Formats: sequence, structure tokens, C-alpha cells
Amino acid sequence: MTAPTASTLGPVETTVRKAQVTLDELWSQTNVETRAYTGNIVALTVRKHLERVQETLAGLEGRYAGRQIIGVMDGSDDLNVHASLVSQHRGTFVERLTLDASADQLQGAILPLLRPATVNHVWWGADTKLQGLLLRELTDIADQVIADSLTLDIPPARHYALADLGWSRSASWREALAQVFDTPDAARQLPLVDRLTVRYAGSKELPARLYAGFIADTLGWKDLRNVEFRAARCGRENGDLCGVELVGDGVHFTLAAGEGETARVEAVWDDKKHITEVNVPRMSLAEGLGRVMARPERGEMFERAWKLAKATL
Amino acid sequence: MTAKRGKTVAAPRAGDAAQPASKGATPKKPVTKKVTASATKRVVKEKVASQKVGVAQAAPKAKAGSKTPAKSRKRRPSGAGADGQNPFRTTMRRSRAPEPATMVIFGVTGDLSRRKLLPAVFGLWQDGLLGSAFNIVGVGRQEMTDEQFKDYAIAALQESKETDAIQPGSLEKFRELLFYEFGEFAEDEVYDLVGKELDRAEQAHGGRKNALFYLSTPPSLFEPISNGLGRLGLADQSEGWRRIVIEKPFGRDLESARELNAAIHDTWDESQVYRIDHYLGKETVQNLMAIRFGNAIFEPLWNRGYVDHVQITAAEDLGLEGRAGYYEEAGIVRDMLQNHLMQLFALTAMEAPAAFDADAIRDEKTKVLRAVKPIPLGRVKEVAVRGQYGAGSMDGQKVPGYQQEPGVKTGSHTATYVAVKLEIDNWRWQGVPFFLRTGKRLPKKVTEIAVVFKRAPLGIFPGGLERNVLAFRIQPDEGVSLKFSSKSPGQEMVLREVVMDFRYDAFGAQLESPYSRLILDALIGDATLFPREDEVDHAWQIVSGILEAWDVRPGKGQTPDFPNYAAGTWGPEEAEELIGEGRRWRRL
Repeated sequence: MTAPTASTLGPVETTVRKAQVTLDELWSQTNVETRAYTGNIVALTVRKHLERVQETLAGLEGRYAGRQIIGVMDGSDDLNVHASLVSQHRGTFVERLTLDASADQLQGAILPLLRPATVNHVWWGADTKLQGLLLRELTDIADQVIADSLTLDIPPARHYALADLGWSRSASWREALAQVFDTPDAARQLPLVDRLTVRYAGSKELPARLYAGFIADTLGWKDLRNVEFRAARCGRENGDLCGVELVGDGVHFTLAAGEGETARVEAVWDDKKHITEVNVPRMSLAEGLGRVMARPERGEMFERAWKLAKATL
Repeated sequence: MTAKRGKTVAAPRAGDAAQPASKGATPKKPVTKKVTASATKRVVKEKVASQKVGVAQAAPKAKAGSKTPAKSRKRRPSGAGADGQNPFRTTMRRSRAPEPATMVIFGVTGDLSRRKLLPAVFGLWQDGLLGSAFNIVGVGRQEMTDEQFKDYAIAALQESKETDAIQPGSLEKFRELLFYEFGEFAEDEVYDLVGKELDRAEQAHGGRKNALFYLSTPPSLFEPISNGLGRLGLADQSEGWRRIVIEKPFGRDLESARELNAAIHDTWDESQVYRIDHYLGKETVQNLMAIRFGNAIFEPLWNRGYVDHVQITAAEDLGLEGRAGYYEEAGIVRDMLQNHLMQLFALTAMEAPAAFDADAIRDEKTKVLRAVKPIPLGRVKEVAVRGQYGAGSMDGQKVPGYQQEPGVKTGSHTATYVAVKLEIDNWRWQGVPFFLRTGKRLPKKVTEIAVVFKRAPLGIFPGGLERNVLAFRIQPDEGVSLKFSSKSPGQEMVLREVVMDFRYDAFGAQLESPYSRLILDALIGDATLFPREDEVDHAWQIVSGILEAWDVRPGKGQTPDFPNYAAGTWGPEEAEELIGEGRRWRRL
């Protein structure tokens, strides 16, 4: 791990059986003395999303997964395997194996390629429903399944940690909202709140539903009847939020995305207006993926938010 | 605000006039926390008496902050938040976050503030960790307007290597959080101005007047500032929490440390005092606890049955770097041994705490410090070695000796190297020496804790038996390695040492500045990583004999011929004798 800069090595065509040898040959071309196997991430996708998945995994910078296995599921029964060492910052590398085949073929090919005795993340990077033997095999060995849980209708399960990228990427909005109510005076107004509006960027409103589920559940609401969802333009990318408004008798709390990474907070109670600004960092897909892999956020809160959000669909 | 202030009473800021007069806006009584001289003497006497017998002090109950009454005229239904607790925090990953607060940095134009504190606070703020209402009030003796201070702070952030990658627009926003006050620290006026800043923050953001006072000043100003804050009622927690962060050195010997503690406690409750030792903010130091107490395999080996000795090294390759004034006064024992190394020692040797919380951990650290065999004057020669570097060569460059450094007195007896052997009188560690060494102008910058295990009881293979070593690298190349013997490939049963290495950079994450972690903890009110009064006291007790032998009575024929090691070497020869036969210092 000494080279200050390096270029990606490969891809080199190989087979499942020879994949490790091919990777070792690539490693021998580097100045790397030690390798740390921090985990496997298996990204399952289809050709039309392959580029996005590759970009996202490159942005992950090898954090928490020293081996990336990309399974492209809409190939033929002829299995194609390519190995590469993807260069990272500070002279480090991540192993990447890209497999292109049918889902049936992938099932037999991916499992032997997993580095043993480490953490396995499975990322469903496709918009088709998760099903089939491949998925079942992978969820058996997965410590974490990362997917768009509302679209794909995967309920949170107990035998693996389900992580939702939309939920993960709205973490900074949850933190920002919490900061507004860190003041005990502000927290005391929460029982008065009875309406909620969530504004989202682009066309993807599912993260907004999960976010609303989080707020509603925290406030003890049984459903999202009093929640309104509105598309908005705030310069943030599709899948991000633009703001939130909590309203009640004599109280009003608004967070609105502002310039850069900030949101303007306007809070009104006791006929007084309090205006502040909070940081709401944008989170790219790679950052969101890194976040869930870093510290899986499986929790009852997500499950309860998911149930409330799912009931609205 | 850009109007000149300082000696004159601050003019109200824009918007102030529209607000109702706050308590802070009216003239203050000089002292809100009335303490009689006799009461003070009694408290100090009790405290010092208990310190002498080494009893950990239970912090007295903090004055309960009076809850702000709900001002609403409306009826409030019960439900989440009705009790003033933030329901959104309960299920979040970081379950605690700082309440709205003002951080007041005394000595804000100093080197530490410029290079470390401001970048650390900026990083926290940029990451969204400092809440919706956060301000920094810089305080100094230098006359400056708010605008000049803002320029100063932004320039510091742009220049410091510690500053995180700056997001577009961040500096401009951060600039708005900065304010400045100036004045003489011995007079009341500057504290009055600080109080007005807290009033202004309250009016701007609502909430309570929480404040973290960070004393980034020379030690001689700790007491005057603490007293000044007390006189003006700024330590009083009725309008919000108040905490004080004090940089090292905390005292210059046991007596002065106790006096300083007593003076601080005239104003502050122990629960409000955060003595900072930035080593404890380092990820790898915290990882020492994680590895010890988060794994089952190490703890059974962590005792006199398996451990031969422990080596703790903090080597610096730098010389004085223009700090001769400070260093001539402090020397290596006060600069490194009494604080940083003693903390690393305590974390390595302590028992498992009942919980990962401030009191449980600090109780255990204190216990092990108490168990260290005392080093009175008569034992110093036996257990401690000092050194001072002479001219030498580092990285192919000739470097001057300590006495040739600018500002160092001719014939200075100040030690730049110390190695000490600590013995612990408890069941776990009886007979296991802990060797601590630190010095300047050593070959490289490296901090490491090495647990050296005993040899296997019987050698059945050819060749000698080597010891296993579990090493925690604190800096650089942060990580953990385990050295053990393995068969070499070949027809013979020949063993050789191999190393199994975990590197922290495998996580791929950049390590945070220790200051950012500690500042965030202080804002949250988590004192786990801050040495408590009794810890500091015991650490001073351990080094008192050494200081007496080397500083107070240097002319008693004990002073070695300084310099006694060349720059770029691993210290004086005597250190090899200290570690004893059959052992050697690790070659790092």
C-alpha cells in the first residue's frame, strides 16, 4: 500500500476457477505489500444499469469491501468473467470481478468467488423484482441486503439486515430535523404538530415516503393520512429531498433546502419566529452505499417507517 | 458586528433592540455563585486531604439547571416531545447531539487554535454535527473587530493542513458564525462582553444559553480566566449548561496541579471541567479499548501469567521547532510523560470497565494509576533514565543539539528524553514491568504500545524461542500487528517470526482529528475521554519523585553529562540497561 498513484489494472478475461490466480497476477504488478480483505460486495444488475453500478462502486473507494463482484444478470448461458484491480486513493486497490451470464449461471459462479470469513453485502442494483434461486442463495450468505425496498416490495426480514439506499441517503435530513428539536423548548411543541408536508427532488418520491414514515412514527401517528408529498426543484438530485414542513396549532417548523449543502430552518411557536440554518450534506449514491455498508442501519425505526410508507402505496 | 468594542460596553447588535431585555443585558452582580472564604477553604481542605490518601473524588452534584418554564398560553397535549426530550434522537445512530451552544475560545489567535481548533470545529460544522444554532466567540487580548477576526479565522482554515476538504460556499456560511471579543483577562469587562455574546446567541436562536469555554491559552491564564468567568456568573448553569475545557499542562507539578484544581473548583463543579489530552481523541487509542474489551481472545492473556512486559513508545523526530521558551520550563516529563504516556499506560493496564461511560472508565484508569509502585527520590535512579540530544543527523541532514537550539540556555539540564519503568502492585500485573519512553529527535515519529508475551515454556524446535508481540500502532500507519513464529518452508523444522498485520487504512476512511472528536464530546457532555481530577493527580504523583530528582535537585551529582544521545538515535545507552537483560527496546 505504498504507491502514491496507480492506474487500474485489467480487466483481464478469466474464469471462475482461475479468477484468484488472475487477481494474484494483477496484484504482483503493484507495489502493494499487504492486502486487507474487508468484505465482499455482490452487486446484481442488468446491462442498462451496469455503468451506474460500476461508477457507484468506484466511488465507494473500497471501503468495507475489498472485493467487488458485479453480476450482470441478463446475459446468456455463456459465462464471461473479467478481473481487474481498481485503483483507489493513496495507492490502494480493490479487486473487481465482473460476471456476465444468465441468473442461473451466476448462482453457481458467484458463490465460489466470495472471500471467505468476512462480511458479505448484496446490492440489488436492478429495478426488477428480487426473486429466484440466485437471490435465495445470496441472501443466505448475506450479512446485509441493500435494495430499494419499497419499489421491490421486500419487507424487512430478520435473517439479514435490509438496507434501503433511499433511507440511507435521507440520513442528513433526519439529522437536520433532529437538530431543530434538540432545544427542549422546540421539542415541547411537537405534540401540537398535526400536519406534515415533505418535498422531494426529481421524480422519485419513495425516499420522501420513508422520511414521512420516520416523522409520523416518531410523533406517534398511526398512518400518513395527514402527510402531503410534493415534487419540488431545489437543485438536489433525484432521490434526495427538498424540505419538510411540520405544522400544528400555533406552531410551524420548516426546513427548506438552500444553497449548497444547507437548509434554512424557520420555526414558529409562542408567536416567535426563530430562523437558523443547518447543514444537510448531499449524499451521492456511492456515499449512501458506503454509509449503509459502514454501519448497517437495521433498526426498528426503519421497519416502522417502512410499514407506514408501504401502506400508502 | 464590526463596531469596535473591548474597553467600552458593547453596543446592541442589529435586532437586539426589538428583543426583550434578557437577564444578561442588565448589569450583572459581580458574583452570582456566592462562595464564602471559609467554605472555600473547607472544600479545598477536604479535597486535598482525600487526594493525599488517593481516594477518587465523587463529583458533587452539579447545580441543577432550572428548567425554562413553558411560555405558551396554549394548552399542550401530551405526546412525543412534551417532556422537552427530543423524540427524533432516541432512534438515531448518533443518539446524542449538541444542543444549541456557543463555543468561546480564549486565546483564539494562538497557534493551537489556528492550526487545530478552528479546523476541527469547522469540520464538525461542515459535517452537520454541530446543530442548528452554533456560534464561536473568539476571545483574545489582541484588538480586533468581528470582521477582522472572521478574516483571520477563514485564513487559518485555508492555511491549516488539518482542515477538511472545503465544500463550495461553506467558508462563507461558517464565517457568519464567528464573533470576537477582546480585553484583559484579569479584568471583568471581557467576561461581561462574553456574557453579552451568550445573550445575543440566545436571542438569535432561542433555547438556552449553553456555552463551552475553551482555554487555549498559556497555563498561567487558566486560573485568571476561570475566576473571571466565575466572578461574572458565567459558570452558573441556571440559564444553560456551562463547561470549561482546559489544555495541558494541567499544573507543573503535583502541588501546582492541586492548587489549580482547587482554584478551578472554586468556580466549577468537576462535572463541568474537561481536561483535554488530545491523545485520547485519537482513533487508535480508542481502538485499544475496542480491541481489549470487544474481543474475548485477548483478555485471558492480558495478565502476569502471559505478559512478560509492556513497552510504550512515543518518539518524535522533531526538535524544538521554536518552542524553547515553553520546553525549557516543561521538559519531556511534563510535556509527554505525565499526560500522554500516562494515559496510554492507564488504558493498557486498567481492568475492564463496567460500562463504556465516563465514570466507569475513569474509575478504572484511576485505580491502576493508584496501584503504580511509588517512585520516591531514592528509586529514581533505578527506574528512570533521562537524556538530552546532541547534534546529529536526521534524514541525511545535520541537525543541531538541544543546547544549540535558539532560546535554550547554555548548560541547560532540561531532559528531552525519558524512559521509565513502572511496576503495578495489583493481582493482574504483579511482576510485569511497563517501560515507557519518549523523546525528541529520535529517528522517527512513532507512537506504539507493544505487549510482549512470555516465551513458550519449552522449546521443542531447533533454534531459540521468540516472544509473541501484540503491537498497537497509534501513529503513523495506525493499526495492530501480532508477531508469532511460523515454520519456514523447507525440509527442516525451522521457525521464523512472521507478522500478522491489520492496518487501519483498510477501512479506507480518513482518520478524524482528535480535537474534533473531543470538542464534540465536550459539547455533548461526554467526559469519557477527558482525564478526571483524580487521574491527573495520580499521574503527577507518579512523576513527582522524578521531577524532584531532576529539576529541584539537579545539582546533587545526579545530572548526567548532557548531551548524552545524538539526534537521530534511539536515546541514551542507559535506557538499554533500564529495560534489563533478556529484553530489548523494540526497533521501530
